[in-house]
Amino acid sequence: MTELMAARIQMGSSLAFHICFAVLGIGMPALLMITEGLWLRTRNEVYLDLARTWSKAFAVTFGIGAISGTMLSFELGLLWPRFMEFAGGIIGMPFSLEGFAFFIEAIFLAIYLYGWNRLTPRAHFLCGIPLVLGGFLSTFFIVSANAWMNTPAGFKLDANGAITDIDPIAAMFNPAFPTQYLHMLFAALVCSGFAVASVYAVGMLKGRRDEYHRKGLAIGLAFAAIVMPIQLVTGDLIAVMVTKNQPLKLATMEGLYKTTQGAPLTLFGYPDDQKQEVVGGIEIPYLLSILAYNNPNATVQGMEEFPEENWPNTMLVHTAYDLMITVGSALMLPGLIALYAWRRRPHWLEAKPFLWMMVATGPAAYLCMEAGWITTESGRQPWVIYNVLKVEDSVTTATGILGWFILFSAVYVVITVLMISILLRMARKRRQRLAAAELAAEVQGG
Amino acid sequence: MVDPTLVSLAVLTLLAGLSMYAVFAGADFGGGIWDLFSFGERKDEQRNAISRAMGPVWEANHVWIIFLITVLFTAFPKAFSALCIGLFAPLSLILLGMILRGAGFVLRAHAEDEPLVQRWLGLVFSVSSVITPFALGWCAGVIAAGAIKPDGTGGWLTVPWSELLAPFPIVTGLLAVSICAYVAATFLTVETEGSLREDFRRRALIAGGGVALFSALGLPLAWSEAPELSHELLSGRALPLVVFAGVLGLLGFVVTLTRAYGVVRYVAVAFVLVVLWAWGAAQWPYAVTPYLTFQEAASSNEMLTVYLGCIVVGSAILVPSLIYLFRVFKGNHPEAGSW
Repeated sequence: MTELMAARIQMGSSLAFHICFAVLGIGMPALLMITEGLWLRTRNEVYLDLARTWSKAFAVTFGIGAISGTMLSFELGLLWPRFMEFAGGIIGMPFSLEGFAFFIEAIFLAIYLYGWNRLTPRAHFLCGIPLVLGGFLSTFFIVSANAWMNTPAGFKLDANGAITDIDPIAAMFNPAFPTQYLHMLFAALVCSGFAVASVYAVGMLKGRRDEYHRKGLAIGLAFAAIVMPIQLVTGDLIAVMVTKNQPLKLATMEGLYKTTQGAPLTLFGYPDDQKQEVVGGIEIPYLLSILAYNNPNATVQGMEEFPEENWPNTMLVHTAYDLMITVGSALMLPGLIALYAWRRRPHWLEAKPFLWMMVATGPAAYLCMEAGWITTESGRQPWVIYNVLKVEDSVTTATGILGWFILFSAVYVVITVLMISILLRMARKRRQRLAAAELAAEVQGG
Repeated sequence: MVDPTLVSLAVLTLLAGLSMYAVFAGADFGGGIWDLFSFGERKDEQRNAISRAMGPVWEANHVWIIFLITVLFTAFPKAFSALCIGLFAPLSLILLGMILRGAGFVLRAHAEDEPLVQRWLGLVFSVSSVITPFALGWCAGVIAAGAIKPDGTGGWLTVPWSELLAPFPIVTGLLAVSICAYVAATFLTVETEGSLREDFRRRALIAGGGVALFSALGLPLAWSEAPELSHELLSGRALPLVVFAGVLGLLGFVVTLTRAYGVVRYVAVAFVLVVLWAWGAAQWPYAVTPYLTFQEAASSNEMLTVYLGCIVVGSAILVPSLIYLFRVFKGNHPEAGSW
């Protein structure tokens, strides 16, 4: 394996790992505030129980997220020093600002987690505000840097390739930034909501059909379901933005080899680069032209317009994109079904098929989010900065990446296994505590 | 050319971040070190006191390293690139240490009813708490020794193991470990009482002895291996700070010996800061001794201006938040962090 390949795999797997925790870091504070707020309003102890349980679990996932995020900040330099040397002076600022946002998150999370008994309920609740803001702002700055890699702005290159006319503000607010930010932010909220709902659906299927589980599921589902329609809109905005700024990426996502007027949307199938066609896909007429230009007869540029050496991996990008849009669209269902059933068929919400569907939503939302990142990151290949710097020209000259990759991967596997077993044990312990309390009450009463 | 005033200001923000990291994360590393070397009849009490002290604050303290990395690549991208290529292996080791340490600490805190898992996680946490500060001090020594060299085509060479394992960098690594251990033990004397406090007082004295030993070893080694640094430390602009550090070191020894718990913490903090600043003053103007100055590594006037503006605004939010955090959880004899 070449050092370049090892570096790419290590970076890709670190990102895929970290994002699982990062989305919870963005979504959980909002869910915590909602639930704690419900407790403050209603004084129903079930809400407090939920919020405290979540805050304990979140402490663990946030800690793992903090270290996997550290990994990424190191890897930017360890694996891609020449990229950072080029980009640091242009797009470094959002990273520095992200440092501050992360600080605020870490500080107020500590206060939130350890402060249940030290602060007044009201002060404790209010500490959730900087926590939510910290997460939203972290996303803002990190996505800004990523969007800049797709649509680099805020600098010029002179005849010798030297960087001139640096404008850090223009770099930060690059063309891809607004849509990419909103799409990621809402993805994080959807993932967190469905992940929570999924956990309680499992509990209910195991026969724990109490108020605690019902409310846990309801809060997670309502949260995700409210965001889902907005997420479809931001997804559409991204398609339009990519069409405009990265036409080759769009064509690769769609497996569109030939420039086509009134282009259909092809779902899945095997994109054959040699024959320049997708074998066995499902075609939906005119849909691509509608998505990209809001006009069924618009002409969409195909991959043939671009030199083949700059094509991303068609199979990977096309499949990941199709997974994202199909699974993403399907994630509208739970909300719609619940909305219908809520008044007319409340018993549906306790039925096994519905609960099984809810169990699936958590992993499905995560799959969708990962597929989205694979689409955007692999779709940018072979560039690290689109049309400016290639990935192969930014990799480190140091050697031995593969050995470190194996070591870090082994560590991540062990951490994941331990973390899951500790989270499961946490839930078990809560149940044991409740059972013991009930028994004690019975003994006293009897 | 990049405005030298902007460069100096940006270097000062770097030094400020480094100071915060050295004091706060340094104390957390030291906590892990004493977790590893906990012994005697109050072994478990010692470990609990360390966990209690670190629990709410270690993540915020850890963020300083992320801050430092972003400052480095925003303000001095060429230096960031040179360090990452030159120090590939030691930096990877630091990263591994940070991951193991964080994961070990977080997971251990939630594995109360599994003594075996908890013991292993504790070991992971404490061993990596020794390795990480060692590797940080080691890197500083390698940089000062001028071992990171340009490759002649605009890139940098990876430092060979023979130079990484030279005596001077190894001693600076050990010095970093003993300083962390000294600061942590000193902080813990303020956060504990009775015989537990005596335990940590003794540990502060032992670590202080280590600091003195490795400083005494390091100075002559620097003279042969890191001449630029040694020249500034012993006869140049850093000399007053070196003398001041020596005085503070002695004072720290005296106040710990005489149980002057009202001031031990402040003397320890001052000592760490002055040692760090002495090193900084001695290394100036080089980001990568002696091949790349901060001036040459700086990004641009536009970037530095915007960056410094962000630091001002960011600090205005960060500083009160940090003060609030430490007000809630620190002070004398804090209660156990409760869920």
